[in-house]
Amino acid sequence: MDNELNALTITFTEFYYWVTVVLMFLIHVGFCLYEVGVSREKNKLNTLMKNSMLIPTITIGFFFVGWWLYFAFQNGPGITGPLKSAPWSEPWNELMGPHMGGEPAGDRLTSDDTALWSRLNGVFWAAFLLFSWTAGSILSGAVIERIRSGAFWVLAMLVGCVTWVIGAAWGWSDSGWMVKLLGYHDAYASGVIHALAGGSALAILIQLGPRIGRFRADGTPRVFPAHNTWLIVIGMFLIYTGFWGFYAACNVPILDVDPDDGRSFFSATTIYLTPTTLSAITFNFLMALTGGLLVGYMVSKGDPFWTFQGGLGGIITASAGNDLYHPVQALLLAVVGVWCAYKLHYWVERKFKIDDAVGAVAIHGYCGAIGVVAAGFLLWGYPSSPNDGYAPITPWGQLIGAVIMFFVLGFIPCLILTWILKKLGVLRIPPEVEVAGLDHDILASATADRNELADAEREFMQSRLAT
Amino acid sequence: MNSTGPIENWNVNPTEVGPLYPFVGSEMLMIVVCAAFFLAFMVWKFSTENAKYAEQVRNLRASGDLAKAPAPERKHSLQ
Repeated sequence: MDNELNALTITFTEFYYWVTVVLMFLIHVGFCLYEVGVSREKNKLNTLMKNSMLIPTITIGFFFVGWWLYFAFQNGPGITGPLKSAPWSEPWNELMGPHMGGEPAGDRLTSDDTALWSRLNGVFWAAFLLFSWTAGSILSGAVIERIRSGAFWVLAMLVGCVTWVIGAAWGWSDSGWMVKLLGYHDAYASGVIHALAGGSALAILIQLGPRIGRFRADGTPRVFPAHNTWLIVIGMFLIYTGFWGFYAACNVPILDVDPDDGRSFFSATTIYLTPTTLSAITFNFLMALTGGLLVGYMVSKGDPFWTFQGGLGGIITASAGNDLYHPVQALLLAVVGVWCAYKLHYWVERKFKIDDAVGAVAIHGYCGAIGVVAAGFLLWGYPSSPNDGYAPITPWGQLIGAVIMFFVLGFIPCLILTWILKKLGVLRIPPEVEVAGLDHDILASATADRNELADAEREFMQSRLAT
Repeated sequence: MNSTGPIENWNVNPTEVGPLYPFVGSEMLMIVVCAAFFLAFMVWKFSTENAKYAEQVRNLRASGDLAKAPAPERKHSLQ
């Protein structure tokens, strides 16, 4: 911060991430509106609180554990190296608070650490935290109207503070072992967030079971009418808007990408430090959205729910390679991904009686996994990193990556934890309460309050008329 | 005057200023207190949730409302 250009670069980077965090907050607003809209009248307040309160639970977990995991686990540990030292991310470290970047007070940090991290740690931490909320929210929609909030928050913390962060350390960092050994490429998190959260949601749904009345005796599903279509629509538009901010947050805004020490060329980069531009990802974000909307509308024969979900699924499918694709490639990939996810959703629903209330496993899980694998074919042979010795992008590297994200880090940990919660008897709402409605007591109380107020008004008017 | 933090004067070389918050050195204690509070919150949530649902089930069974299960949704509205 000792000359204007340096100071501008640092404060621009700080401000850039801060803006993306504010934009990404809209993702959570969108998820809340969307879920409440999809839920039935008798469950809407419980649905709202279940999702809203994952904000504090995941935030605390991420402050304590998640941020450190991201740096410490990049080598596995034990695959390409030991546990990495990252004192700036330890919750008790002085850099996890307001800091001017001068001499460190403790001996765990160097002056280089404080100079680098004092103005980036908070905004960088927050950007990752917002990704964590998104991972939790993806689970939230799938399990509405029958999961207990306490159990859900524990599961959301597992995914939001541990598993997705390990996935990011492995496959979404410039020195992650999956990038080094597999050439894993997932620039805008098709796999590390969406496939992983979708796999997690599937595991929870298997243990949780369908809502009462979901399936007829012949095994075909009944439709649960959404109680407010407009909340769903506004929620989806807000998710799109926040997703745009997420794309920006995945980039490093300004970095010297010229390997020649004697020259400089500043560009935006992906999280792998490979060059890209905001212009490129804006092309691809919108074209993938377009492809998803078109095929969602077509395959569902104009159903609004699947049309909007299709737009989201289109972006998710193309995200792994949206730093490099041509916009038309992004669009066509979105078409394929959403079509497959839609078909898979109904096949899995009927075959295995999985009640995914919002299609989260399909839109996030299937689209994300398909997108990761597709990037292996479309970007076959591209370097995964500017660093020497890293594997190039390949279909088999991406396939292994998709399996790691969906099953190893997504499905299996959540299956185990959900099984434990089920055994403890704290996973599912009692059937009596589920049938009566999760808001039964609140709504009954509101009705009693309204009736009492009406009685009071009637008495007042009667006494006034009597005089 | 004594200060709760490392800042006693802003007219210093900024490159020598590190942490700004009060009670530098007590971070671990703050983490322990925060963790204990959060743990207490989660224990409270699970215990009250169990008690609440047990009571709701008793009341619903006693009231006979379950036989007309969908009625509350049609009857009550906050909209």
